Amino acid sequence: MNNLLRFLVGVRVLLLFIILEIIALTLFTTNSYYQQSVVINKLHAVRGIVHEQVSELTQYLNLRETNTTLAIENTILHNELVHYRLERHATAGTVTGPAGTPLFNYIPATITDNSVNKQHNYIMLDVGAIHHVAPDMGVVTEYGVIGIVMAVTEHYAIVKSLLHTDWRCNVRLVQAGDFGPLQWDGVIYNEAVLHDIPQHSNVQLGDTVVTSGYSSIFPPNIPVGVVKSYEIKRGNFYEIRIRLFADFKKIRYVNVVSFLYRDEVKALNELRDEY
Amino acid sequence: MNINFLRLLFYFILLILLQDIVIDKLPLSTYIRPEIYTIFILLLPFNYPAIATLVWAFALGLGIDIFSADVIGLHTAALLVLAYVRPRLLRRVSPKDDMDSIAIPSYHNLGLRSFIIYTILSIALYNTVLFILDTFSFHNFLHLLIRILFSTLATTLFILLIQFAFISKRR
Repeated sequence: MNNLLRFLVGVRVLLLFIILEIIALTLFTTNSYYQQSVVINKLHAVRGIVHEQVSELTQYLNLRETNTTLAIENTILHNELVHYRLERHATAGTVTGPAGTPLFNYIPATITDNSVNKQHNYIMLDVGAIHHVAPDMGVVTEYGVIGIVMAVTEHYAIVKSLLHTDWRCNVRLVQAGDFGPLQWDGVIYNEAVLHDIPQHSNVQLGDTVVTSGYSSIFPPNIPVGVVKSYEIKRGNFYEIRIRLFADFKKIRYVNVVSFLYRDEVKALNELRDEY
Repeated sequence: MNINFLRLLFYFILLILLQDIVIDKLPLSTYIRPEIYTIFILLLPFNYPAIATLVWAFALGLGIDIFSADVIGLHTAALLVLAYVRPRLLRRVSPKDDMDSIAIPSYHNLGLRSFIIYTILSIALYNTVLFILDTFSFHNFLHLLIRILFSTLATTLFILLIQFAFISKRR
């Protein structure tokens, strides 16, 4: 009898362990977008407040560096403005929509939470639905692609970072002209891997990689990084290591990209999926 | 009893905040992630009920998942394994029979050598489960091993530092 009781007590612990473990693993493996947006975002609204306080402090400590970055960004934008003014006639209709409204609009945002040391990194922004930020919008800086908006609350947005091993971004090699998916392999925070470039392609060290523009998420020709090394792996495709321009440890100010005909493209894609 | 629970709750919240606001903001590489919150499970008293340990581990895991990881269930699953194995590990390293039930397995109760063995074994187990689940493949086996090794060493170091810093305090 005594032995039986002792056995039951032991099994009781094991049972609880198994039940809790099953709950945890179920939550882990069914981490769907829906769950993320419904459950976590409620909590993120609270978390956002805490992080904003911390962020405000560190922001102050980093003022000098931030100012330098802003100055550089200013210059780059000025240059680009001049460039576009010169090119206006040649490109009218491709970078602008009707009556000169730009096809891509930029919504400035500040990062309130960021990480680089996990396999699935996320970034939190201080803009949300009231700033017209919506899921599936791209996030960029002058140094390249940062990520894609996953879900939004009223005042905050969660961004799937480029440093997220499940996410791929379509990019193009400038000189070789080929395009393929860029994906982080979870190893070094400033390097990612470009796949599916065919063996006959003229890949060169130092070639620049830019966004391909084959989507309504990112505008074309945003610089992403340079070719650091390449090798042929598994058949006829190059595996190219890209050194990213963006320093994910230091980014603070980003732009959310909103595409003018976003709803139209989305509706069209949904139509395609129906057939 | 109630005071004990409140004290544990205080450490619980403190460790989650500390991990999220301080430790995760340290400029470390992808290979190193000190998980100081594991000290909560490690330093529960010797004879703390196994059921309660599991419940605490579940809550702590969820707290870390929600507050600093964004992947619900990951740290929960790993911490549960640690909590389940902990009594067996403790039985191996603790001196026989002369431990009073409310003592905690700190380094001056266990002795430095036993404490380090206990911590490294626990954290290595925890990290192995955590990183395998996180990577969800053995594709990059070497990186996985390095990550487990470095994070285990870093976590053990941090736990020792916390022990030395708060030596007079009892949890």
